[in-house]
Amino acid sequence: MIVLATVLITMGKYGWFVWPSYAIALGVIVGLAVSVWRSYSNWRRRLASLETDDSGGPT
Amino acid sequence: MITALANPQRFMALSRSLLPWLAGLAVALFAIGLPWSLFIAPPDYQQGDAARIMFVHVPAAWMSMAVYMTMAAAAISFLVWGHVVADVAVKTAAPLGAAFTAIALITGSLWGQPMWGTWWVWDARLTSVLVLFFLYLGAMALRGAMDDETKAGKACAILVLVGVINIPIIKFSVDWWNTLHQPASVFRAGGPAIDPSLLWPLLVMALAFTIAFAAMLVVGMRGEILRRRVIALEMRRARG
Repeated sequence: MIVLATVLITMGKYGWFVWPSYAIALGVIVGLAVSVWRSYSNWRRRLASLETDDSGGPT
Repeated sequence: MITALANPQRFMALSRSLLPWLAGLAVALFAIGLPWSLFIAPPDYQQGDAARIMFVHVPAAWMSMAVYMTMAAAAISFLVWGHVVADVAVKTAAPLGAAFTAIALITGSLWGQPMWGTWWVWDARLTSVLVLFFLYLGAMALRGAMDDETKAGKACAILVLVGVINIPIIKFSVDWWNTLHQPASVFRAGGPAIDPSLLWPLLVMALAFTIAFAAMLVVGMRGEILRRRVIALEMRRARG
């Protein structure tokens, strides 16, 4: 709702070019942050599972 | 400090405690900078409200060059001293730098249309930034084309160092050639030419972009170090 309200307000006040700039910039940054975090979590899980196997724990 | 960080275990320990602070600071700076730049900062006296694009375009453009210089420093560290963490930094920073450069190019295009009447011109500033974008893509492609991690790292580091020549070209392109792009208005001899009411939100947004990059770099580097450990363990296990 906050995002939609911000888009509508900025579109009404500033025209067609301001809000897409912010949307693209923030979308890319948030997307990157999620992507690097998911990759990190994935490798952390895989390493933990390998180390459990090495220590003779449950496989 | 650099030698201490060059040890992957020490890097992992230090980055674990640093990461929550970086992430929290980035979110806080965006929470301040976004409403300030969108609603509180006044419109520009010539460009009106379209100048608000500056608050995302300029930090992204600064970051596109700063990330490349970070990669170049890490590339030297890898080539001269063989620091593996430096190679990890080069690899992790490349897609982040490409993303910031893409943001700068797209938002610049969105700003150019209402101000210049065109989405794109092949002038010196825009073209040299496009070359920077291709340098990032080239570094990523070169890295992905080789299986041997060390050889790929060295080839990538050399490409990054050759590409450093483009950074002063980007910076001074607006002075050396006639371009549609405006000259520097913040980092210039004689101090900033921009009004403080626009300069402060710009600096807050620039700091937000910088800290967000640092946080993403740290997470990405931690992920890459873990990936290399997983591969080493799997190879050791495969050998029996």
